[in-house]
Amino acid sequence: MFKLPQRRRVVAWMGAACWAMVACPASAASPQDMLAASDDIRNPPNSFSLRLAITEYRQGRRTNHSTLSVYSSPSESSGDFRNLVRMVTPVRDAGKLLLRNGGDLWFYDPSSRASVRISPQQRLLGQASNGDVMTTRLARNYTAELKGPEEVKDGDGVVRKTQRLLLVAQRPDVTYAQIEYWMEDGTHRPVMAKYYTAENRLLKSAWFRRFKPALGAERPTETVIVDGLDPQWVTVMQLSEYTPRKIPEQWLQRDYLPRFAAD
Amino acid sequence: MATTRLFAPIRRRLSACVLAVFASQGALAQAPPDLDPAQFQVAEQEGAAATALGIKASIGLDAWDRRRAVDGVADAGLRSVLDLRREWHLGSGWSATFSGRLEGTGDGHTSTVHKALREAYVAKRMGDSLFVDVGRINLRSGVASGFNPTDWLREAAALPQTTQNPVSLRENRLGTVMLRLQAIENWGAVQLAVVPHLAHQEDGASPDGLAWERTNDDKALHVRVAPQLNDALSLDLLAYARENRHPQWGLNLTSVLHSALIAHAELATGLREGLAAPGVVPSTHMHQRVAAGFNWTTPQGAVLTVERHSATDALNPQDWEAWRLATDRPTLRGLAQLRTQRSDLQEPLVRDAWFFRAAVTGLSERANVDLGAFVRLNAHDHSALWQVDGAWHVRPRVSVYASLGGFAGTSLSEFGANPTRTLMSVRLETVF
Repeated sequence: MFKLPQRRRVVAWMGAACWAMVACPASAASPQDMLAASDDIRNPPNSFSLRLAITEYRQGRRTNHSTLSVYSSPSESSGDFRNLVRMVTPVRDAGKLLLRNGGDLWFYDPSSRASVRISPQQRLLGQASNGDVMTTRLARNYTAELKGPEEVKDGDGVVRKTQRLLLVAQRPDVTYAQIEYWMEDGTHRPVMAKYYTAENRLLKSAWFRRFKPALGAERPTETVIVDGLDPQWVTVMQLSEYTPRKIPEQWLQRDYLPRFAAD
Repeated sequence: MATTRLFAPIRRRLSACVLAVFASQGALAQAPPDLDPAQFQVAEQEGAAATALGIKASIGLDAWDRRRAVDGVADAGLRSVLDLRREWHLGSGWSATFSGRLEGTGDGHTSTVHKALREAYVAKRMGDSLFVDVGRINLRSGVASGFNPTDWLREAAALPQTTQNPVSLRENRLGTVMLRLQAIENWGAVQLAVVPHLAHQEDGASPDGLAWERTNDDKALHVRVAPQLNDALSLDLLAYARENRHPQWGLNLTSVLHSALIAHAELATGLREGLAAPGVVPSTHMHQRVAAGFNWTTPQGAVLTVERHSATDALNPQDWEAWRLATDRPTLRGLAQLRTQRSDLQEPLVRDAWFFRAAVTGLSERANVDLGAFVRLNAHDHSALWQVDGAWHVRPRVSVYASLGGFAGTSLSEFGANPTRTLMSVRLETVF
């Protein structure tokens, strides 16, 4: 049997280890840890509120604009964020509310004074699905698999070295069945994502850009979403006014929706 | 009638348009995004918050195509509506809510004005989790779309409208004067509403003005318990007791089956006097009312609803057939009265029905067109009530709404017997 001397074996092992470190820098962390690290860049760690502006384009022309206030609080039990979204503009939608606790999503319309349960994929905000405007921790809902390094253009057209992950939904009530997710090598910054149905149909593509300091870290403050069926339908989501705040537990119950008063 | 010829092509074209829209929603093209996202640059901090006063003003035209002429009633008329919904937060946990509607209609010969006080109440927060509300409150229950067996306070609360859309009927109705206590805790919520007796109900009481006799003709108690179960399941347990009536019990259940699929079930049970065949004295038994179905969001964003309705206190197929086959005048008159009464109270006439709805928002290049359609189908005689609604949001504060609806079926069927064959409504609405 072929056998290396002891010293040569040690050198060979060290060489192999060094090669692995150089060739696969991202493999030091598991894909799930990488995804969690990327989640921490997209989301502040504690409760907060922000302002969300959604602008839609068709055939390159701006066609629609709406603004929302989003209140997010991490759940102690699931670790994922619970969200309360208040529509601010257009004025015909002012005061409408969306509440999300995991797969539990309610829409409240002050005109009917009724709370209606809706699905995460239902669109009330133009092209952006309800799940898109909510703060989510992907690592809590998807199982990540590392697909390897790739160079992709980011939302500003700059080519970046990334790692591509394939995310598979852990439960059927999660908004998307599968996501392809590109994060920047080393920093774990989200760069781009493609969202698919269970039948592997492309629903939309998203680019994360305009990283700015917000609540202790550089976070993406813009997401560009391109529809999977109609690439001429583009939605830009702008996040601003990140504010740390205590979100009372009551706000996150459907029975509180008719009583919610924005401050 | 002349209007029949006028409506027929409009109906055909509109139906074709609706079918085309929903068909196009189903057409898939796996187009990869080939646009450069860098070209979409939006200025920061744009879109200041708009002030909403809660006032809507609209003017519109209603037109009817009738199977038979109704004396003194025109085939078209103008309608103008001033609608106010406003909430004031007064500090120290106090708030006040007002919701009213002023509506004028005219057809060239007659004109009428309707005033309706939908809601007027004050609310006070007591401590962290207890809320007290006093006044006229619109208390709604139910998770179904086409029929809500547990929405016991809807009876006699409807306001006159051209639309038959269940969503609009739920929005525009009178509240009930009550004292409401609600506790919202981490485990869920519990609510108790005490309804006082204020006036005696009279036949044909108008919904105009305060109309206490329609909503507060008897004392009543309404209880609702809504425990927080888990993300997938929501549950409401309800009880309703009204003077001179038997207590009713209810349950609302919703469940997420998939990120695009929600199932719901609404059940009410209690002693009720059921409807019977002509000449048979109605008897009181335990009856069940059920509305169960699902909402599915298609990958293209349309929401489809399918619901089955069942009410064991309504007419079973044999009794309904007996009413339909009657030829003597008193029975025919009785059937007409029964139809009108059940329709006014939004109560089911026959035991089994289907309800289908499709809705899509953000159509058109400017994403400012919403479209919806629903059909309520009598499962026994297959007659149908249908309506197609469209909304075009011309500007952030200005919208145009149009609806075309009708009653289809043979002359002896539930909906086909309606004197109106088709009704159309167009209105321009502005929001302040």
